[in-house]
Amino acid sequence: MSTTSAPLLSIQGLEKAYPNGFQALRGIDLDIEAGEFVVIIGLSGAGKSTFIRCINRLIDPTGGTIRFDGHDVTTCRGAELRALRRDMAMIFQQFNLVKRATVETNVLTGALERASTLTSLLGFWPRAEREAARGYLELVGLPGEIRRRADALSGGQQQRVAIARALMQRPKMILADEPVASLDPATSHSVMKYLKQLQEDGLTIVANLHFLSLAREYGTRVVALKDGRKVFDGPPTEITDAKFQEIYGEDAMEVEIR
Amino acid sequence: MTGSPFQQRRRGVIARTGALGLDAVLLAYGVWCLHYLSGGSGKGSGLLDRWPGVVLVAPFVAILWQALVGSLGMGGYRLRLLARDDTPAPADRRAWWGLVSMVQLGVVLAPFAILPDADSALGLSVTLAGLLMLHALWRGSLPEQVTGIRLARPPGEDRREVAAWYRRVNPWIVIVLLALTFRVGADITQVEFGKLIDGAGRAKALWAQLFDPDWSIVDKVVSAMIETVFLALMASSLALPFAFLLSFLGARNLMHGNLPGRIAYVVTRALMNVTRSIEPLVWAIIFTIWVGVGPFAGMLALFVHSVAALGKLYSEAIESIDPGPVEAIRATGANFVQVLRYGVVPQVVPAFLSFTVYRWDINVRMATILGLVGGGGIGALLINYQQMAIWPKVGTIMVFITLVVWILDLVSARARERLN
Repeated sequence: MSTTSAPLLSIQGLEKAYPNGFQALRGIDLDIEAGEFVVIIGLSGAGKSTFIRCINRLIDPTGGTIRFDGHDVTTCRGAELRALRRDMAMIFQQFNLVKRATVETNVLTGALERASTLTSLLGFWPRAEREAARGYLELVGLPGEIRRRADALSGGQQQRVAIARALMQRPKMILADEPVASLDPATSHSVMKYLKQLQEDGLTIVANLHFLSLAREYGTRVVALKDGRKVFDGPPTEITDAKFQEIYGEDAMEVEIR
Repeated sequence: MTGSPFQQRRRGVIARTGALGLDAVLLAYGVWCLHYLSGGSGKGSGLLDRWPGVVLVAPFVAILWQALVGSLGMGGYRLRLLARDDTPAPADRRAWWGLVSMVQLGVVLAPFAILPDADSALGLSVTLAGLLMLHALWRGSLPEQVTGIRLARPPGEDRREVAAWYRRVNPWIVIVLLALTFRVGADITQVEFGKLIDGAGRAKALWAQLFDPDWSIVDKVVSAMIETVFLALMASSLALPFAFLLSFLGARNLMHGNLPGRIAYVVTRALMNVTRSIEPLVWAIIFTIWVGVGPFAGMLALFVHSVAALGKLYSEAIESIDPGPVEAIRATGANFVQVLRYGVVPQVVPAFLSFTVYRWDINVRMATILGLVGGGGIGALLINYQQMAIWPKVGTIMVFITLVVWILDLVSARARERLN
C-alpha cells in the first residue's frame, strides 16, 4: 500500500555484479517521488542500462533493496513480480516491437498481465482492450496505422507504438532505456515531448539519456552515474561545467541536440 | 591470466593434460598407421591388435617430444617450458623435466606391470593419477618442484596477439599425418580404380537396360509413388507439433535461466541427438517389427527421425532470435508462456515453416528407399525388380523417382523463398 509520505520508488545500496566478475553497480541509493521526470546520464558502460533493468528485475541485482509503491521488488516472485512489471512499463532504445506482428497486436501485448493466459495464447482479445489500444494509438498520433506490420513503420513511429504499448499497461511509472538514441534529432524531440506530456499528466518517468541537453530540457531531476556509482543528483540547472567534466571525463564537450 | 591462484593452477592442469593427451593420441595414431601399412595388423583381420602397447608407449614419447623440441599439443594450448623467472627454460633443464615427467607417468602406469588383473591395476592407476593431480592443484606439479621449470602459458601473453591455433601447428606434422591417413584409408576402403575400367562392359549393359524403361508398369509405379509422397507428407506434418513443443525445451537462450531448465535442455538435446543419429532406414526396421511391414512402419520411421531433426533446427532458430522483443514482452508483466507466444513464436514462424517444407522434401527422398526394408512406398517395388534383375522396370521406377524429387525440390525451394 502506498502512503503519501513514502516515495514511489526507493532504492538502497543497489549492487550488480555479473557472473564474469564485472561490477556494474556499486551501491546506489535513490528515492523517486511520484510525478518526477528523472533523467539518468553517464557514459556508456557507467551502469545506466543495468540500473534501469534492475528496477523491473529484467536483471536480478546482487545486493541492496528496491521498494516500489509499497512492495519489495528485490524479493518478490511470480504473479506479484508480474504485477509490479505491469505498473512500471518500459520502452527501449531499439523499440523492441514484435516486428512481424501488427501495430495493434504490439500495443495489445501491454495488456498481457491482466489477460487470461488461454485466450491470449489463442490471440483473442476482448473488445474493451482493442478499443483501449485504438485509443492509445490515437494518443501517440498513429490512428491510421493499426493494421500495418510493425516493421513497416519508421523509427519514430515504432517508438510511439512502444509508448502506446507502455500506456496499455496503465502503469504508474515509465522506465525508458535510451528512448531516442536510435532516432534523428527532430524525431527525438517528438518522442521526448510525448514522454513529457505523460509526466505532466501525472506519470513518473525514469529515462536513461545520452545527451545532457535533452536532460536539461525535459528532466525535472538529473542523476549521473559513473563506474556504477551515483556522482550527481539534483536539478538539471545545477550541472556546472566542472560537474559535467567529472561525469563525462576531462576531454568531453557538451553537444546540443536541437 | 585472471582468477585466484587455485583457478590458475586448475586451468594449468587442464591445459597440460590436454596437451599431453593430444600429443599422445597423434603419436599413437601415427604409429598405428605405420604399423598397419607395414602389414603388422594382418590387413582385414582386426585393425586394433597390439593397441595396448602403442597406447602405453605413446605418452612417454609425447613427453620427450614436449621436453626436447616443443610439441604440437604445446602449440595448440599455447604452452611453453618456462624457468622460474618466466624465461624459456635451458635445454639441460628441459631434459631433466622430461625425465621426471616420464618417471611420474611410469609410476602412474606401474600397476599394470605389477598387478595381475587389469581391474585393480586400473583402479590403482586412476587413484595415483588423481592424487598427483590434486597435488598439482594444491602445490604445483611434481616435475616443476623437482626441476624448477614448468609447462605453462607465458604470463602476460595477450591472447589476441597469438596466431590462430591452425597457424601455430607445425605444417610438416599435418602433411605427414594427412599423407598417412590417405594411404591407410585407401587400403581400408580397398581403393582400386582399375576395376572401374575392367567392369565397364557390365555397366554399359546395365545402363542400356535402365535407359529403356518398361512403361507397362506405369500404373503400379504411380500408385506406389503416391503412397511415397503421402507417407512423407504425413510424417512431416505429424512431426511438426511435436518438434514445435520440444524446440522450446532445446533452446539454450530460453532454458538457461534456472537449474530445471538447464536439465530439460540437456535431456531434450541429448534425446534429439540420439534419435537423429539413427538413420530412418534403421527406424523402419524397428517399426516393421513393431507394427508390421507396410507404409505405416515407414511413416513412423520418418516421423521419429523428423521430430528429432526438425526439433534441432527449430531450437537453433529460437536461439538466433532477437532478444529485444522477448525482453519487452517480459517487461509488460507477461508470464512465461505469454512471452513465448508473443515474443518468440512470431519471430520463428517463417523459419519453422521453411524447415518443415524442406523436411518434407527430404522425407520424400528418404521414403523412396524405406521399401527396401519393408517400410512401404516405391522402394518395395524397386528392391523387388532389382532382385529379379529386371532392369527396364527398375529404369521406369528411377524415372518417376527423379521426376517427383525434382518437382518437389522446385516447389519446396519456391515455397521457402516466399517464406523468408
